[in-house]
Amino acid sequence: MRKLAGVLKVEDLVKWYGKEVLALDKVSFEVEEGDFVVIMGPSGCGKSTLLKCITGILPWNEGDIYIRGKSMKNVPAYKRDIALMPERYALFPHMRVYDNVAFGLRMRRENESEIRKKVADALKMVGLEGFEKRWPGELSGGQRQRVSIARAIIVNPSILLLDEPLSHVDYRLQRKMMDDFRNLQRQLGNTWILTTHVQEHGLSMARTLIVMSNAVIEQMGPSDEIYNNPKTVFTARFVGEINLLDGYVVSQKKRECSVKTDVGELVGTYPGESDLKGRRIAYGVRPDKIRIMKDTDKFDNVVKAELTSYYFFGEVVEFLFRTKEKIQLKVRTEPVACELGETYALGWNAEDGNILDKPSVAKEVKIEDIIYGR
Amino acid sequence: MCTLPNKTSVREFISRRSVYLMILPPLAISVLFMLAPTVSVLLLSFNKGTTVTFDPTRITLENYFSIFTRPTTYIVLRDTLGMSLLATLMTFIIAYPVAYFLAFKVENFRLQNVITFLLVIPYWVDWSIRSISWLSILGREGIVNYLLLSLGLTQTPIAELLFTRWTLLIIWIQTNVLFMLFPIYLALSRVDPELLDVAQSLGATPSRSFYHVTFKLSLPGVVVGSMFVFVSTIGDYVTPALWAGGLQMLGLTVQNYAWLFQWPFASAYGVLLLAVTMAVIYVLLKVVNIKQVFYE
Repeated sequence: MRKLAGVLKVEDLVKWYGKEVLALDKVSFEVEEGDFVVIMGPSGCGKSTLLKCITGILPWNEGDIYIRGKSMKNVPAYKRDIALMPERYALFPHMRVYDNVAFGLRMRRENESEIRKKVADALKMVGLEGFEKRWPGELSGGQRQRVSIARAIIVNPSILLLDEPLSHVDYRLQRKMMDDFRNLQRQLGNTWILTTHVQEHGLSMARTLIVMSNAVIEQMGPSDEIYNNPKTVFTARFVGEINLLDGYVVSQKKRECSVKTDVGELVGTYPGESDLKGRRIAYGVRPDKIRIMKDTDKFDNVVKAELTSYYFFGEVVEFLFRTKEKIQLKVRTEPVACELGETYALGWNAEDGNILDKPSVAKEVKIEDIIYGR
Repeated sequence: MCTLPNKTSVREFISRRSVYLMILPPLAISVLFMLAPTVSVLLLSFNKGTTVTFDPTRITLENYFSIFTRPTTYIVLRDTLGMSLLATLMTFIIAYPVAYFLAFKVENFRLQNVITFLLVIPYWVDWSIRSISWLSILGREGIVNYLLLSLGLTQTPIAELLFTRWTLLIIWIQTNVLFMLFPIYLALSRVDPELLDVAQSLGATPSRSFYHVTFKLSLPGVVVGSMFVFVSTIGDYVTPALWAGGLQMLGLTVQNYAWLFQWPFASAYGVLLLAVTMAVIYVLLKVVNIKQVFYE
């Protein structure tokens, strides 16, 4: 069971680098005890800055950070109950693995026999028993990362921050690392916050996902919720793939909207509250929500399009269709027999059509600019 | 299977040993101008009188007996080691904060270069001139006395500013401080600031993270700098002769006996100097693994 106590609360955090660069623009969110949070965003969106502020190694300009309800404004890093694993692991090069891992406990002046026991436990947890005597320079990248994790978890922090933990691990190891992280977090029961710029990592690993862009939080929530109901065009495009169409809302019935687009009138779902009638919006539909229709199928939206190309991946096929209005639609389904050049009916339901009225939380960008990637 | 020797094997022989051939010239120079004189000094110290060539038929330990039974030897040894180690310590105390400031507080790389450049300027002047310029600073009519007089702190100029062991110390510090500063600066500028962030997130106070991370990582620089300063001061006999006001040093003692043409006796003192130097360097290298400079 999850306890419903907020271990971390960030409130209207503002961080300027000099007078020119705004790295965090009124960032607010709350993290529950024992959560596994992934902050995801393109490089330079402010996620590392946010981690540094939480750790306490970087002062901020406005707002506040609370840990277990206590303001961190004047609390130095070494008094916060937070451990950091930086992107490049930052192992102390002049210490053996044992001394690296023992560092936090030595700083807390625990006795050496206790330390020996805990170091052995921590190294066992990350699968590096017998590496005590090695120097960091003698380890592979993956091993260094695990030493860095052992060094962080040994002090039993309330919050463990990991900055881009997967970006220097080779592709095949990434999936194993993700599993390891989740298992370790469940074992320890503390709160983990990771950053990543790779969308698959965030989507697959997070219990709670935070999407950031340009110094603001775009959306926060469970990853499936963000995938299915993105609130902005940015989120829709950054998390997973999406077909985007330009359109006007012609009628709105509670959350269901009818939209006039280039391929005809489509119905979709709007997650917000505003009255959108007559407004220009982006209509999005995920490739995996579209079906190539059989005769018996019934869908809220039906569009006819010609198959122009496909990519076969074994268990799934990606089809590229083009409507007579020259709009391209991507469809991802299990393999079905299709002929190139033939015209098919594509269908999807109203709840799978995403009405996106905001390009991004960050700036006033024209919605059509984002759709066409201008 | 065996191959018959042919023309290419000679070339192969050379190319395989070309590494050794490449170090031959510097090796020859080292043997000729360093190893050979050192060995000849060592051998000569076992002879007696005013001979300049080693005579293997008249080997004696008399020089060493005489050196170690003289009480003055121990006084000279104490003064030499003491002054040298003190100069090393003082240059360290002065150089470390400057190096730290340069490496961590001056973020502008250009400014770092400018400061480094300014620090080197005094070293453009020849040693002897730099040395003599202390007259105009510490002399009877020097700046220090002028300031003291005009501030009314003293009625008559202080003559003791020059020609004491403290004069020697000041000059040694001035002439050697950069040899301490640069190795430390280099070691410090290689310290990844992220290590300090991590140390603090793991509960280290700023002072403890400085000691356990920054200082420990700069130790190789400190040791190298200390070796530079120690070696260049312990063997120095010109500066003490000029400025130390009659303070006897090992180097000076060697020179004194050499001037009396007592080469073997001077050699024995020279061997003592070499032994002391090597012992101190040995201890310094024990402090830190010098290979650590090349970590990662």
